[in-house]
Amino acid sequence: MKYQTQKIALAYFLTAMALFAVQVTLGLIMGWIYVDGNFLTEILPFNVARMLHTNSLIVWLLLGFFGAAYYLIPEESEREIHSPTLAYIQLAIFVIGTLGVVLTYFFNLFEGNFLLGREGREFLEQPKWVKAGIVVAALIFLFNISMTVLKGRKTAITNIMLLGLWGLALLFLFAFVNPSNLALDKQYWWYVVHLWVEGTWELVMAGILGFLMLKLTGVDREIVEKWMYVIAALALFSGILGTGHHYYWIGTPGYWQWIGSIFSSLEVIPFFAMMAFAFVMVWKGRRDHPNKAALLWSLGCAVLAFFGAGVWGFLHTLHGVNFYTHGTQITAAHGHLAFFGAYVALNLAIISYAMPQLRGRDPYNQVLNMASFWLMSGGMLFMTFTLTFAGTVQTHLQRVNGEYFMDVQDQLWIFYVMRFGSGVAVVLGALLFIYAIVAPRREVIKPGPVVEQAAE
Amino acid sequence: MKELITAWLILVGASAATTALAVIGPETIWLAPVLLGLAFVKSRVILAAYLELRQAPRILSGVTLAVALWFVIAITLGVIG
Amino acid sequence: MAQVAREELPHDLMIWVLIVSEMLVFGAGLWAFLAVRITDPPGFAEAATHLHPVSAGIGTILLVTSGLFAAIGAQRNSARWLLLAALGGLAFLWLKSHEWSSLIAAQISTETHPFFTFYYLLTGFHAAHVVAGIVILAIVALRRRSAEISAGVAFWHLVDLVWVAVFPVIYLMGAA
Repeated sequence: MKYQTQKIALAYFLTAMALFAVQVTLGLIMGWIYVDGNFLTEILPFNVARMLHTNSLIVWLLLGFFGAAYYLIPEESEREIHSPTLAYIQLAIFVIGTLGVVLTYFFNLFEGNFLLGREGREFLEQPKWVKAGIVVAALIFLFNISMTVLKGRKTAITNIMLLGLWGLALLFLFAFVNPSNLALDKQYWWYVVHLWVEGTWELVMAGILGFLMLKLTGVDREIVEKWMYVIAALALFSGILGTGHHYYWIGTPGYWQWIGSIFSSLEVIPFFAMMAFAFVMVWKGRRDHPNKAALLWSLGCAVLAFFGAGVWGFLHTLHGVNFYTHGTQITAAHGHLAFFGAYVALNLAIISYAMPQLRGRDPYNQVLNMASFWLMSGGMLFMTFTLTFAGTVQTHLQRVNGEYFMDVQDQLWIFYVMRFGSGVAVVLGALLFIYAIVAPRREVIKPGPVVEQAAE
Repeated sequence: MKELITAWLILVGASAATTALAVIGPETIWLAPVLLGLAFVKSRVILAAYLELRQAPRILSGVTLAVALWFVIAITLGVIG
Repeated sequence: MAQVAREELPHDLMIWVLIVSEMLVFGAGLWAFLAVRITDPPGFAEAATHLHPVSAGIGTILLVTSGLFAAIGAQRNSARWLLLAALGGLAFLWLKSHEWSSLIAAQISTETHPFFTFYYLLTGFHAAHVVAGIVILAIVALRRRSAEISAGVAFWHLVDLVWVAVFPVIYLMGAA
């Protein structure tokens, strides 16, 4: 750690990890609700559990991005963060907002209240006061980061990160646009949801991955930057009009089916490029960085993002296919592996890289962390497979044969049992990861036979 | 300069020929392949002369191959339809 | 790939990323058009009679000529030639707007027939690129920086390249 203010990232990462634990635990509870539909119906209805599961995911990923920005921007810009105080105020706003959200959802406080009650749109259920808080916090963040970058060195990494983070914050404003016409409502809703995960977040991903590759592999900055610009261009080119793949059946004109199918098919390319980038950098790199865990997560992120977001997304993105698979467990399979591969693994990669330095524990051999990678990723892959099979069966029974939704759900029971099992593995992996980065004070494996062990 | 003029003449000639053929519209299965074949010639000229890929022969041949494949499939679809 | 590219590639790498991406998009769109056409050949042939191949042919000649002007402009670093190229683009757009307005007057929309869904989509996308190209040509002509001119003119050639495939597939396959 070269700059004192990089320490801000520690608070962000720890908060993110706490929410990560909450998120996966809720996932496990929901996994059981799929097995036993009456589980906790009175205390924690499924819709509330789902809101908490998805919202806590998004918030912790965002906190991770903010933490990553506070960690890497000082190093890139070669100066301290403009105002650490503002950074902590921003975090406090997020924590208060999150607590507000949890209490509001859980007890359904202020139902129907314009300002205080929860709103009905999936993922954007936060009460308006929380949304406003998010905007204020985002403005603080952008001000803080932009001031730092403007006064310091500008690199491809800071450029692409800033572009992604500014876009992310501005697009969130569409969370306030909520027309009563359901088709229009959905249209704007995707401006936030799609243009985040398949647009601006990809830029953040390219930025963080670029930073990690630069540090971990020691490849020339010039080469890393060229790759990053290509990836960012491809992501925006395909991702923006790729929004069309959400406009197939919401009442928009028919040409969206072709715009969506064509552009969203191309969304595979930036994810492929990111995977190629990560591997080419590692092959070219001459540096043998001691933090193998961060490298493992980085490569895992690139690979799983390609499969989860790219391949599993393409699986049901063509409108002829989506006509049958829309809203089945195929979507759930894609959603889980895409979020895990692209954004969870990305955050865990930068956290694995930064934590030992933030806590002054260099050099650091994160064996437990690497074990958690295999446990979590293995679990998530198994979950993806079970849900994909469940979705295939569901598509056939429900959409081809025309059976009733709940009759089909009964027949998917065995898949949900297996999914619960894989969920247990993911939760154990997540807890192991958190333990590995927080608890052990010393975990150095003697640097003797490193050369022979090179084949992990 | 001379190269560009030659390219332009080919492009204009091929465009005029394409239009004339389509207007006359002879009843033959070969019409679609010929129309698209002319389009392939034009795209190759644009790539080589206008976009200056002639300077990079290996890239030009790679791109030409990809474009040719595209046209083969387009012609197949066109003939079926 | 990187080694070969660095030795030989004309124009900036990023403009090639864009060119290839655009070729993929239009290529996929035209394939989809031809594939959907198989499901209803008479309907597509009937729909195509509403278009005017000759006017589209003139448009094609306008575009490739404007491409020549742009190429000369890039070679000579000349604002005049570049603006002339942009003028060719404007003429093309004028032709296009006539075509669209007569179709719209005939109450033909994107929902009339799949043919017209693709027609409006592909010609509309292409025209949007013509508009962008005109703006880009004007900007690089005024700034007169050779790297920018090279990239801007490459974009303009892409607009030609795409049209060369759109023209026969959309306008002329009805006759075939």
